[in-house]
Amino acid sequence: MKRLLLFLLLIPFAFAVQQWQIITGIAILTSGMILVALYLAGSMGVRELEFITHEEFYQLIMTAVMAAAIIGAATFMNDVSLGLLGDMTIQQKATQIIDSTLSDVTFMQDDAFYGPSKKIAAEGAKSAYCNFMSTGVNLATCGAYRMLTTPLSTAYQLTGMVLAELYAMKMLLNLSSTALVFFIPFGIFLRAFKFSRGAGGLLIGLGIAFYFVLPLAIVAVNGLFIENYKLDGKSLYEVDKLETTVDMSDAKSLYGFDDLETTLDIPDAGPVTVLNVPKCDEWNTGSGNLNYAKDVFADMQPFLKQNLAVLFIRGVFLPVISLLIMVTSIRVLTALGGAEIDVSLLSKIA
Amino acid sequence: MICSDLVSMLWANVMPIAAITTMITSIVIVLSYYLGEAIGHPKITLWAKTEIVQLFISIMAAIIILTGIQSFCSIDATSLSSFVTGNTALVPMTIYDAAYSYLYTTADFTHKTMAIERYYLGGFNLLEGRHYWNCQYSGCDNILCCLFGTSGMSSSPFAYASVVSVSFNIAFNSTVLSYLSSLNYLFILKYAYSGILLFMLPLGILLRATPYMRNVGSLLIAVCIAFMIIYPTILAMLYLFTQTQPTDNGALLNFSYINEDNLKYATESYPSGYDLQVLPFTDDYSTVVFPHGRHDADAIMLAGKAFILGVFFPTVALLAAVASVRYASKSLGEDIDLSRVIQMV
Repeated sequence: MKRLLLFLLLIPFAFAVQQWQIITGIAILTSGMILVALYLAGSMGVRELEFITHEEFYQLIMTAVMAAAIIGAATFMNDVSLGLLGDMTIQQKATQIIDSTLSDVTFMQDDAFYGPSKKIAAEGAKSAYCNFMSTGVNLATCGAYRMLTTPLSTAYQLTGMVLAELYAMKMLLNLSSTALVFFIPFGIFLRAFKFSRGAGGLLIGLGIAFYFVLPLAIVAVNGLFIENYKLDGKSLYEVDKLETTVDMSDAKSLYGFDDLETTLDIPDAGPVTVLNVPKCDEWNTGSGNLNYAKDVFADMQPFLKQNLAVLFIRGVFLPVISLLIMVTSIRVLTALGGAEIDVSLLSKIA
Repeated sequence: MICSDLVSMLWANVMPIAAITTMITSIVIVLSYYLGEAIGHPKITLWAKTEIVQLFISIMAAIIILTGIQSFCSIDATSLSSFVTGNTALVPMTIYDAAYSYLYTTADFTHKTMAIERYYLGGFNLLEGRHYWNCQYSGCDNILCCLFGTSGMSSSPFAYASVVSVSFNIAFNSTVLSYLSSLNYLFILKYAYSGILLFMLPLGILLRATPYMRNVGSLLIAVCIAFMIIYPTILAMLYLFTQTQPTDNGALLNFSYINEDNLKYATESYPSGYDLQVLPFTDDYSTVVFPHGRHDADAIMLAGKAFILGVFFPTVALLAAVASVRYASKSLGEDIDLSRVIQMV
């Protein structure tokens, strides 16, 4: 037991090296030495201990193979990403994508939605009261503006959710930079012992998922669905209110419709346009204010569409798909590591 | 701090009780063995022989736990971080202290974030409720109009606050969840530090040698391993990780920024220094509530950070602990299906 204690106390010294590969190697060596100590104890007559240690050695060899594979994969990915992404690692590129989306969504909330909301809400809150000899009438002539706040309110709710989500993603990406240093060596150490194999497997799975899978998923989803998105030769940022005619000939023959032609509006993801909000005249009891509100509503539709298209694709689709890929990979990776963990709870949180 | 209580509990309570339990179990096994020999019942003799081996495994498991605790009270967790990251500015602490510090600072952080979200919601409520009544209007724009009746116009120049504040509803609800979650995990850790070992380890040793109760005994010892070794280790690691992160949103977390006096000041009918005639129609009133300007996006982003720190990371630690319960109980001879426990968590 003194030997075991001595080896446990040696663990901090193993972390003295800066290179995580060396730390991982030392973790394996430390685990091996503890197993040797247990094997020696077992050879003094405790057959079960000897048998368990024997089995654990095979597990340690598998762990060493896994560690070598992780080190190789990390080196390979760094070399490839530095070549492909222009002197950026895959983790840096993923962080850059999230930072850029965060910046755009922050702009949307602080500037794009704030200005129109301020004007529309203020105009909608106006009312006039006319009183003569204690008999009065309240004129809610600007009431038509109030319904305009609902879509803006929903947009705000969405941007709030997306901002929190993206920042949470950024936290997870920050973890990727230290995943190899903290998770992998300690996971390998824990995996060497039967009682802590589950925890070790989970840590190794998390380390790989945070370091490789999450940044890779972000870069891949961004590359496939956003940066390289082409529709009629235009990227997502260049699409300018495209109108695509949908072929409805089958529907015509099937349902007997004549002259059926439908156009599908593709959301414009171009730069944010300013939404003009005319002033409401609270004493105007005619249809003037109603028409103003109707005009604002008509302008608001493309205004919201072009902003929310960016928000949905970059702020919701990208993080959700990336997180799902990462959480799904944890289950597979822990199973590969010989310790399948039920990560359904993490899936629910994600 | 934690270790002094833990180690004293270990020597004063856990070890004697575990030793007494081991002795009682040994006596029962030895008596059973001789009883089996005396009455010539080979089943009892075989049971006694099996239980001796199982008792040895239980003692080994207990020794691993106790040695682990002693080691964790000796190892400086922050030295790991300084070796790995080169950050030597951390206050030295044991692994148990680091685990506690992670959850404590997370609970503190989520509480502060909750206060920020609440402040914003409160500020927006004040702003949206600020109505203005003017008896002078176009067509009658002199003071005499106010003498002949109460006709006029009403406006709410800060009505936009009701639109903006909805984005804080989600942030606030999420932060409340993060806060409660971090407290929940903190209480689990505190319980683990205070009583789990005293109760479960001796009982586990006893029950493992009791007929039909081996799986329960294995489970109790496995829970001790998971919550005294694995759970604090993962939390300590998360503490080291958070200490290596840059501290952002620092301006918001400065509590002078969300001084409650600002809200109190904003509810006064006539804040000094402002012209009542001008005040309701300008943005100046907003600066009474938010004197350092509004940082809506930063405040909402804090909620995202609080969720990861208060919900996601501790859940990973608990998952690792639960996973190790399964593997530890398997290595102690009984496989226990904990999938339902995970679903409950």
